[in-house]
Amino acid sequence: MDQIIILIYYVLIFASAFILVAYGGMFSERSGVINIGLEGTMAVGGMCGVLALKGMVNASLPAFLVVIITILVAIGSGMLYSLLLAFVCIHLKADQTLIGTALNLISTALCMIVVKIANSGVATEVNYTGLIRNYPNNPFFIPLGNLNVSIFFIIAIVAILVAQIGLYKTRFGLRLMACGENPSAADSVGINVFKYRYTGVLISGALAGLGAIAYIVPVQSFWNADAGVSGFGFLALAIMIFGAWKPTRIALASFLFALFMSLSYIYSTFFQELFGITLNASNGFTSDLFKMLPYIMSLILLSFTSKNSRAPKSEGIPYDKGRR
Amino acid sequence: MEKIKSFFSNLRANFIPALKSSKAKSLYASLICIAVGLLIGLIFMICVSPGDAFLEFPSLISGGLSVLPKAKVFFSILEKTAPLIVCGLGISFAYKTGIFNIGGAGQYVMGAFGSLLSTLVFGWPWFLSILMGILFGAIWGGLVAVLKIFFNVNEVLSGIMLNWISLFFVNYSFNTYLKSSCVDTTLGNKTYALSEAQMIPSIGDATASLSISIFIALIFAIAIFVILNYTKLGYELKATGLNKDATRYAGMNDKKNAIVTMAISGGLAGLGGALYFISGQEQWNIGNSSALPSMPWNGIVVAFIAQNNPIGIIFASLFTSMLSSGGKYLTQTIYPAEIANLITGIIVYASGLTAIIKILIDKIIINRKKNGKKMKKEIEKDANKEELVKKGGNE
Repeated sequence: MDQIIILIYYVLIFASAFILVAYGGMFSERSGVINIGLEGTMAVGGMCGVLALKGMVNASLPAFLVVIITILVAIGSGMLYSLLLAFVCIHLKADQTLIGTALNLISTALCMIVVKIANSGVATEVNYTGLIRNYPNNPFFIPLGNLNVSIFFIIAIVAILVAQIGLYKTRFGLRLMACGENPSAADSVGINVFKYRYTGVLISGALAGLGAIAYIVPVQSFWNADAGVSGFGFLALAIMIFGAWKPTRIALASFLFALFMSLSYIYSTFFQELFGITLNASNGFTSDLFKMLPYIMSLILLSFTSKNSRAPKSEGIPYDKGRR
Repeated sequence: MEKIKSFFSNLRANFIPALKSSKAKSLYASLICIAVGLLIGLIFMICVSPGDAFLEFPSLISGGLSVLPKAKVFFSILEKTAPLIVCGLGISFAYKTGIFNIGGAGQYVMGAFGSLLSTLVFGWPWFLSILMGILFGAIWGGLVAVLKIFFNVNEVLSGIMLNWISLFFVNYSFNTYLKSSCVDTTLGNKTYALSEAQMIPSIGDATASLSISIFIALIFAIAIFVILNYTKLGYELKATGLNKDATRYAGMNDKKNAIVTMAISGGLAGLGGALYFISGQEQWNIGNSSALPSMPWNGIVVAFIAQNNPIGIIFASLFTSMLSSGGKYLTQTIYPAEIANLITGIIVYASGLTAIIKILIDKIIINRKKNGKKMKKEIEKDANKEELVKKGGNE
């Protein structure tokens, strides 16, 4: 049974991170801006959050303050970084895919540089082991019987509700979607398309930063700038497509993807102890296999569903008032 | 005497329009992007450590040649330029037809895999390994086009998925069924180092040798230039990029063209992977599943610096690999080598704005005089009109 609890523990951690980041992508694309830079935004947000956490763990602050400041720093830096996308893609009408790619390139370099300078050397690791040492009950977790639930799971549950209601039942959400579907029509009834697109991108930056912390901090006590978030942002984009840009479906897809991701970490002990099957490289199982499966799944699903795609109609096209 | 005079006066007459042509404007825009990237990099270095910035900046942009002016350094820059040129060609070839080949990284990985497979497992000579690299890359690139045409999958999304699938697949293969034949378990988890005979042949002596991969890359650059500008295929592809519907209306086979484009683009990226790994630059690290190789991403960088001009890509690649070589010659305790990547990233970011930069060039520099005259004329015209109106009113 222990193994199942461990599996659930990991699934909840990864699923909550997936939900947050994929919602980030969703809000941005629903407003009409493709955010390929989600991966880079995550890395920058995560880096800032982790550096803040490292700075705080030895200052004997109250536990909740450490958590809140870490999260706020990550959200703030994610928003700032996504502003780089928002400004040139909305105001200056630049190619969104290209700028997103550029942001990913910049973030990889930026994270390495900042972390190396912060370590005043060539080490690329940010170590916050002080968190476990100084706070015996890890403040990022809430004990629930045998299971430690990360606080990000609770945030993710709230996010599901907020996204579902916010997108379909509020004035803001409906207008946001209108800007992604038909910005000209939205503009003609007096909606400020630029404002809604900015909001969409900023929400995506905030959620990417938050999601990065949700992915990094509960799993490890260090973060390596060299690996960044190792494709997590791209996987979140895949989940968003898998979930057809809809909050509830994205949440379900997140759990499915999180299952594979968790298995890639714990597959060998999990199958050994639960079923008595040894899975290792000699009989064709490595962690790469489990990491590859979600991508293959989403590619197959994409091939079957893209004919009548649910993608926002005007995503990726800069809004130009003159074309109306 | 007369002839020489007329030659010079003609030269001037030809030279000034050439400076104002759209190609020249693209060049200015590229140079502005590079300047912006370098400037921000310099400012960044000044912020990190003001005293050393101006001492170290020359070694960054000269690729370390200002510190260590040796043929060996220059040759190692050229070795890294070769795969970069073909990767850049691959990206730009697809972009010419309106496809953003973000899957270049996956095609590069598959190309590297194909070439290593044929060298280490089949024991084929270097040119067959390179052909295998091209083939694997072409298949992986063609897959993107097939998914787009028959299943309507967006090429950016499928490209991203295929990037990671390829990385995991290659590492999976080297970790399992190819482990005994390919992986050197004694020296970390890397593929076997290639022997001299397996590698792409090189010229020069033991102190400084240069493999012929740079010449292969140059041949491909010229070939792509010729294909794009002087063949029917190139004409059709460029037309597709300019107006997809018009080309279909004109009777061109757009499905076939898309697959051919992506196969060529992927083949070039795959060639990049083959050139890099078969020239013995590095051994494939089978443990690294967290990051895609940086070479194909730099291919995107050079494609956009050169604004998709095949000949421009040669120079852009040289510049980029000098920069990343220069990063390694910085004093690492003060300036991390990644400053080079930061600069190239910023250049790509800036090159997203080339359309606006070109408009600004038009407005500010080239047409300032003309605009000034026009404005004057218009103002005069308006004044005349007003007078006429006034007169009319009086009558």
